[in-house]
Amino acid sequence: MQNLKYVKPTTIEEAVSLLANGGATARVLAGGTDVIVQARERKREIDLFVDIKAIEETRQLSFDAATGLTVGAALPCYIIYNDETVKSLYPALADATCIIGGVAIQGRASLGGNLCNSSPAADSIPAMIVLAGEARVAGPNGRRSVPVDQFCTGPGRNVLAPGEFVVSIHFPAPAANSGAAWERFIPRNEMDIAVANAASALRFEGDTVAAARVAIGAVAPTPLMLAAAAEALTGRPLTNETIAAAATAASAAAQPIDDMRGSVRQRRHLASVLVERTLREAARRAGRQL
Amino acid sequence: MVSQYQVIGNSAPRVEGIDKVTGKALYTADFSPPGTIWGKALHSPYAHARILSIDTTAAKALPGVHAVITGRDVAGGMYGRAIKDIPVLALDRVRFFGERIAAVAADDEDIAQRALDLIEIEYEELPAVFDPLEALEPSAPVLHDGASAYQGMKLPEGAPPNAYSVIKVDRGDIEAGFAEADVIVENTYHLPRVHQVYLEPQSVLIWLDGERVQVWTCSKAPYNTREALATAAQIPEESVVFNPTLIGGDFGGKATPSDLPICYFLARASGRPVRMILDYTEELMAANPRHEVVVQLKSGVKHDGTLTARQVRFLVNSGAYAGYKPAGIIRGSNQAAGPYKIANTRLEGINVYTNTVPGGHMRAPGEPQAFFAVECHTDEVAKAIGMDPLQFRLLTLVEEGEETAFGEVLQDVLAKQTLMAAAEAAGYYSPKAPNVGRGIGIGDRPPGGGQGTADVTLRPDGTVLLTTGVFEQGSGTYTTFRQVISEELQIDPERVEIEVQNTDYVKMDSGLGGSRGTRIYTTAAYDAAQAAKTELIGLASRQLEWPEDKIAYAGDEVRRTDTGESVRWADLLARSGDTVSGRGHIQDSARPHFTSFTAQIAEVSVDPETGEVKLLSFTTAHDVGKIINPISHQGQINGGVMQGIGYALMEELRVEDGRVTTLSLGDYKVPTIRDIPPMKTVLVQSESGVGPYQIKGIGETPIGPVAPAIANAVADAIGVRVRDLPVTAEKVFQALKEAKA
Ligand SMILES: Cc1cc2nc3c(=O)[nH]c(=O)nc-3n(C[C@H](O)[C@H](O)[C@H](O)COP(=O)(O)OP(=O)(O)OC[C@H]3O[C@@H](n4cnc5c(N)ncnc54)[C@H](O)[C@@H]3O)c2cc1C
Repeated sequence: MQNLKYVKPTTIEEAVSLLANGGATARVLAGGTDVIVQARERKREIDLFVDIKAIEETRQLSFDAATGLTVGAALPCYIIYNDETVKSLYPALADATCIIGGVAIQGRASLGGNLCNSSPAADSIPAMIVLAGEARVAGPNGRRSVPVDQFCTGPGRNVLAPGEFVVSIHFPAPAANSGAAWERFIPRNEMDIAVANAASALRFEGDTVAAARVAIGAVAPTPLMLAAAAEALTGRPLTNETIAAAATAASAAAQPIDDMRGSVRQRRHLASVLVERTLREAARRAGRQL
Repeated sequence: MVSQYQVIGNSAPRVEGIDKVTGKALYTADFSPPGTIWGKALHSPYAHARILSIDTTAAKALPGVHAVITGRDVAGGMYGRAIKDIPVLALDRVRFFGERIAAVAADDEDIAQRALDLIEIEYEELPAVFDPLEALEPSAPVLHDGASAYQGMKLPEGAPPNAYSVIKVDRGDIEAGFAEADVIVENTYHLPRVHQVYLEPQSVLIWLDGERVQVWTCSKAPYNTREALATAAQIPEESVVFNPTLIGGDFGGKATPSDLPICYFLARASGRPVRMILDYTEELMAANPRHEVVVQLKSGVKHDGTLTARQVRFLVNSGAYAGYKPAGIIRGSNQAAGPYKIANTRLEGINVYTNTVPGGHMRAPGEPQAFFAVECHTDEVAKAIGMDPLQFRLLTLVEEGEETAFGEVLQDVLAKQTLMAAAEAAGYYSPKAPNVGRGIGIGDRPPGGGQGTADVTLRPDGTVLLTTGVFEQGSGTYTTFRQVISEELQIDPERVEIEVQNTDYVKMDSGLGGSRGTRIYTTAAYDAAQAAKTELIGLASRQLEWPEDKIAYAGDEVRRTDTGESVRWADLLARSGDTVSGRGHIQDSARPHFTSFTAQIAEVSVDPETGEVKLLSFTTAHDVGKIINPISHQGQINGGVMQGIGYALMEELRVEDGRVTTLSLGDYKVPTIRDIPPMKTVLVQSESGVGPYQIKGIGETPIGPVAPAIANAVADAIGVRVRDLPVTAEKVFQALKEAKA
């Protein structure tokens, strides 16, 4: 482990100035389940940890029927998936947070950390994308919002500028007749890195799919929002054929790599299977029978 | 049945259990003589290369560095267990990715790592060979030109390049056997390298304390490891003391000398106690994993199920060196013929060098590889003649008085009984849902032998001291000792204290391994207890002037059998101010005339869309002798099965161009508790066993048949066969796709 300094600011302004002054070797510390491992293995040169957990806004969980759900960026997963509002109105978010690591990891791991670590396989990101999540960012130039689907730019890279950090993530209130679901494929039953993951959200008007969002992960340099899959579904009734078309669009969009976790062909295939499965579950949650 | 025993046969809590769960227990990493510094080794980034130059100037200049050593500073030391073929530090050539080339001792681990980064080495890459079959080709690069000069090496004559051991067994007439067959089935199976994944990584601390070399290390065979260290360092064995320490998991992998000689030379060069602890990346890259094996099997069978011939070629990829293997080689060709009656057999077992990480011992070395091949093959043969796999096995398994395929005649053979017990408990013939299958695996092994010593001392305060040289590796030997002493001396277990001695204790003790622990140490402790009783009776006779043949030991007392008078032995000892002791020593390496069968049945479901295999239930049946400590016995069964499940479904040290790529426990996957299905254990009582209580071993038998049971269940569920472990979703899905096409 490298020798490093640790600070725990209580305000956003303090955190921003610490990060801005700290330069490239200053890192935000949320749950630490990624960044402490990286520091220990010297995958990152770090000499300052800015622990954001004492900043109130990073620990909030608030819901307003008009505006939606705001989740503090450093709030640990177990609080998210045990929350009654999340369970009933945002079950896809519960799906994706209740499997991150194991119980111990879920006591610390956060959505902000998962997003900002920007792993291609990050489990919560596809769920946040289909739920139309927006990252609320604070920085030296004030506040801004970045849609989660535009947040990651490459493996371990994202849009954050020096001195910026994510304060919270906001999700619009769920529309009537809508549903969303998330799934992943892993070689064992827990504590694993996704070979592929996927999420889907559907909103119905009558029998017609009025809006669809589909996202896949671990199959490209960043999690992907799939416009083609959404297009194949929108404006039509949901049928085995439209689901198959969306699934095919998912394998076509996937640009996976071969590594010890999975091969190109397996990942492409899994992307389509998972998209199909999450679409069916999203429809079920929207009250549809297929 | 009323047991003849009071303590033996009842579950007993661990002697060291409370210390372990409260953090009081001491492991190698907990010892820290004043002035201890950290050692770390530099690992080769090439699978095969000549070392042209090494420049350590910058590393030596780094503040906080106390010593930097290379192959030139270790006096040409070579080490290994039976075959001494591993240079302490590579001198002019590296033969695997991860081989140790240089080492540093520094104030802390971080400085040591930074110093290693400053060492400059020039290499010239050499052609390398990774595949054991390719290594036998005449054109293959030869890893060890001077192999015949290695201490402990007996090269076979006329062997192909890199093959340093070839064992052949011929029984009957193999050609005639094949000619007699109606159907011939031939398959090749591939078994990957896997790691033991003990919680405590390989650790060592060495302190040159005046005349003595003080060692703390997690070795379960400290006397053997001491020999390897002394030979490598070219110092007298008696000058080295291995000090007692607990071992944080072993699974076969904790008797390797690995970093010991390096640590010794670092301690010598720095004049300080030096500690080396592998991190898990080093563990996965360059420790001593289970071997990759390729098994080629060919069987002749008649339509009625008679096996007429079986040919086995068992090719062990040794890796770059043989030295990590306690016996120099891995056997398994004999087990790869299976516990079946076959008149004509030809077995060939080859150990071959390649430019990959050297293998060592892991739980039942060679057997999971052999059992996977022969038990999958058995199903394939059954399928070829259209016979149910259970019926086929019941027809061909050896029986009392019959020769095994390897030519052994065993007594008290419970193969069929054990298999039937498993089949009944698993509901083998009950109806199955679509995509659900059941598969069988069966195998056997007797407990191993060795030598061990125990001393028992009765003390005036009424307590008893059991002295041992065993370093507990987690399987419960100390607890077994306490049970035996408590049983034989008829005293409360709480009154038995265990004292662990360093290696000055005796000349030789085999330590733990090969399922020998209970066999050797129950006998040693039992004999020691009897000897102590005899001594006590002698003392009583002298002190009380009672005739020796009229004195009996009776729990807390010695009693006169003729008059009924009795005296508490504690009082007797207190009066004389003396203690009374007895020693038990056993040296028995003979292969017993019995074996122990394990029959297992897996039930799986397969998702045809992804190939994902879900284990629904697992049944394991064992033919057992007397069980000393049921909770520990069951623990060995559960743990062995779980490790077998990992081997079957997910574990693999992936190697690309000789380089292990699964370098963290995120990428090298072992099962978590959620991967373990409901398990059923069935115990089939055998009449045979060894030692005073007629025991059989349990440490290794449960792991072997797990993987073939699972692979056979997958084939039963969806009709496709995976012949290389692990059975991953991707392999199953591809096989399904090919079967459809
Ligand atoms: C055993 C284990 C199992 C795991 N299993 C999974 C799994 O199943 N699925 C999965 O997706 N991940 C998994 N992970 C990875 C990790 O737990 C998750 O990515 C987690 O969500 C990270 O959150 P954290 O709060 O711990 O982040 P940290 O480690 O604190 O931070 C991660 C990175 O993001 C930066 N950061 C954190 N918060 C902010 C912020 N608000 N603004 C700007 N930058 C920030 C940090 O500087 C750092 O670079 C696992 C990790 C471990 C150790």
